[in-house]
Amino acid sequence: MKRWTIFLCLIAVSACTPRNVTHSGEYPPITPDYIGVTVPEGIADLNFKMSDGRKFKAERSRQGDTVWTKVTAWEKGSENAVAYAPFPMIISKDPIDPYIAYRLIEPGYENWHDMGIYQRELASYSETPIATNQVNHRGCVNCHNFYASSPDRFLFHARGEGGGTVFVDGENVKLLNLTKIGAGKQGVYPSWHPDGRYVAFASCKTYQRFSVGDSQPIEVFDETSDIILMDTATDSTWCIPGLSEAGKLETFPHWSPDGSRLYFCCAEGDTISCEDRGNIHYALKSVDFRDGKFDNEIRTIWQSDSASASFPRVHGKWLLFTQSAYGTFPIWHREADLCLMDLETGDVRSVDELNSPDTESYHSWSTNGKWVVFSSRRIDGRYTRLYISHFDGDGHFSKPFLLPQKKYEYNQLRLQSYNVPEFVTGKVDNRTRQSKKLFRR
Amino acid sequence: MKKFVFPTLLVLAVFLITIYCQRFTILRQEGLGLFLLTPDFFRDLLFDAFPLSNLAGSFLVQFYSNFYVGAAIVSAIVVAEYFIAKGLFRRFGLDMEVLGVACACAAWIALARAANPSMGMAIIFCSLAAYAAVSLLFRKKVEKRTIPAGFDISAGTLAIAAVSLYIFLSPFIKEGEKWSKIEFAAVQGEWKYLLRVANVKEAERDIQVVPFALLALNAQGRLADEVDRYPIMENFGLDFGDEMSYRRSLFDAVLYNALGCYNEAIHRTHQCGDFLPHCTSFRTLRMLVKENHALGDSLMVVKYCDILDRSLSHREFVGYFRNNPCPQRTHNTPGESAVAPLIVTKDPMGIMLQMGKADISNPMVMDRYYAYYKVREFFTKK
Repeated sequence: MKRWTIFLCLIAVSACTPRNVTHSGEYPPITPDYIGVTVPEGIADLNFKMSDGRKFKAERSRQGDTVWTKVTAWEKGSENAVAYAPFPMIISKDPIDPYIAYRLIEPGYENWHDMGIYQRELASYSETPIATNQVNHRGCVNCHNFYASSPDRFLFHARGEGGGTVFVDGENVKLLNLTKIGAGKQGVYPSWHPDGRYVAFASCKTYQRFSVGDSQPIEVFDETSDIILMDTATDSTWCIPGLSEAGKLETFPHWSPDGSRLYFCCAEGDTISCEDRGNIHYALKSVDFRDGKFDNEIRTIWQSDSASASFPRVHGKWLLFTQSAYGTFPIWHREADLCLMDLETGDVRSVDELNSPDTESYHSWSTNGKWVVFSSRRIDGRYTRLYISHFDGDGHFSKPFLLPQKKYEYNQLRLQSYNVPEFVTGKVDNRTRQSKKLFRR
Repeated sequence: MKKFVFPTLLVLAVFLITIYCQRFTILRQEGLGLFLLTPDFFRDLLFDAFPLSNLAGSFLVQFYSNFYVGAAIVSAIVVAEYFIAKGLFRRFGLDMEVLGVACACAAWIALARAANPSMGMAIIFCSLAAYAAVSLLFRKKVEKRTIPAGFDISAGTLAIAAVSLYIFLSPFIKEGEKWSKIEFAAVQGEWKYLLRVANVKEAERDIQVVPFALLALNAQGRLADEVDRYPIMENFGLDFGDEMSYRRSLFDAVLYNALGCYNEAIHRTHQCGDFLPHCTSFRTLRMLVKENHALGDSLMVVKYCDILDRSLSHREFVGYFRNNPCPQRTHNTPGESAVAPLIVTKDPMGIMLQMGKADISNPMVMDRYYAYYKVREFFTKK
């Protein structure tokens, strides 16, 4: 049956293809640009369209580790077509985690009717919810973080009335209001320690302001911020000396893969007002962590008077972070780019192969450190989309590819942005119903 | 001949009364509705409580952009309910026109009071399900019971007349129509019409009308001179105060668009989505197209036009913006953005000052700023 269907499709396609075909030595102008990208084995087909809207036929053939795609394109109703040079896609032997979790959010800025944390299977186009804001009566759900990328143990925040942090551990789901325990502080940007016991959070007082006529529509900044630690064994939180200093803004905590070190960002300033925002530059810092205790010495590993760092993410000797001109919320900064630091030499470079003229922001490594997923606004400057790139382990990334969709138009038609993409090693069960019980009024 | 009397009467009554009493309600329903041939839209519908009736209702509502078509659809739903209900009762041997008419009238009232045609479709589907269930369960022929034809026709006619009168006089429906007119006029920039609806008398009766009336005065450059004709409270009058509602978000979006503060207008338009079932609607998308066009964000104009193109009723609208593209604006440097004036959404007077700093000082801004000043002086003296 399937064979017959393919046969009939081929007949239909051949019937539609114009008779006069001229050959071009150039690659076809396609959107998104998948020409020469490196993709993991088994990923869903990378569908595209002609950038100029022409009709086309694509024939794929595989030779070793390369898939060649030959595109023939023609204007609707025309008898003349152009056959372009076949373009390559490299299939990498490095496996990728099978799922990516992210938040989908409409740009409501203050309140949202629909919002949720979703997961996408990379081998297909299947997108399923993990927890939506039906959980907390249409409040905000955010800051999801997985313990060691595990689908069975993770946390997310559900804000609003009666809200707090939802901890999922297998079948157990519990809600904790961090402001009512220990340090009495709210938590954002969680990072789960690799031993599973501790979670580091930033605790920020965040403001957003809209610009009147500037091309950057919004500025978001933290008036104050500290780092707090949570012990999941005792459900307690406390401020960390040295990481919750007066006169400093500490944020974006992230553990090294072996858990021996906490990386974070820090700026000088007691409280920040929006008039000062251009002078706030966050440095990258680290502190050692052993047996549940932090070392006294805090090292500055990167600092600039004209740039600000956010989202430090480490794998092996490589630290990937977002650099913007100033401030702490790079997603609204068009100049925000990804930078890579070699922790052994301290060398930092802008990752030009991943960056675009528009915003690049949140990013995370796959569990084997061979892939990176990051968010970018390069399509339209407003709605964040996800890109994946292969890392060769030697400081170089391959050309990134847009998270494939069944039809490319889906990227254009979707009215939500992708937030905080994280790799997950398996499918996460939908926890909306379970979590909803925690929020019953 | 008799069997055509009530369908004809129902169609005429529903169509004419809807056109007369709910013309703008029909247009508002289209504005707040959404039907897109996109995967996200269908996924959202699937997770709704009543997916089938919502799907049918959303499909129909897009034709409400023409109120004659909208009124015809309402009539069709009511008449469909008449036939289904009549058939249902006939299964029980009750061959009476008045029963079908009564059900149709109930459906009409429900539709007139509902926010969109989904309610009507839910009634139709429930009636159809009941009809199917009754047909399966009671297959035996039941003895036919009738009532005198004269009584049947008089009772049916009386029911239609009573419901027509109810819809004509209902304060709830009148209120809905009034707000639909106000919203329509504000979004379209029909300031004179807005002032006719939101007049001083109406403002004294319903304080919520005041910000819209003052916006219309502002757009005509008469705000500072005439602001004291309207009842104003300390935190409510020129603006909506702290209220979070669709009406307030819509008002703010229209206000800041008219003032030329497009970033804020876009923000408030998105904020409208918080009160809409699909986070957006036809009206929201059309406003976003216009605001981004005015701002010079051609990529966003293209995006929202592409989305509207996935509906069946926006060919002309999309065509206009595709044929009149705006040049893509230039982006400021980070240094320029770092010192750009920022605004606090809950501080309208501060927004006026910041707009001045950003060199947006059209007559409407000046007029509004002076009105704020006048009102503040008044309450300070008080």
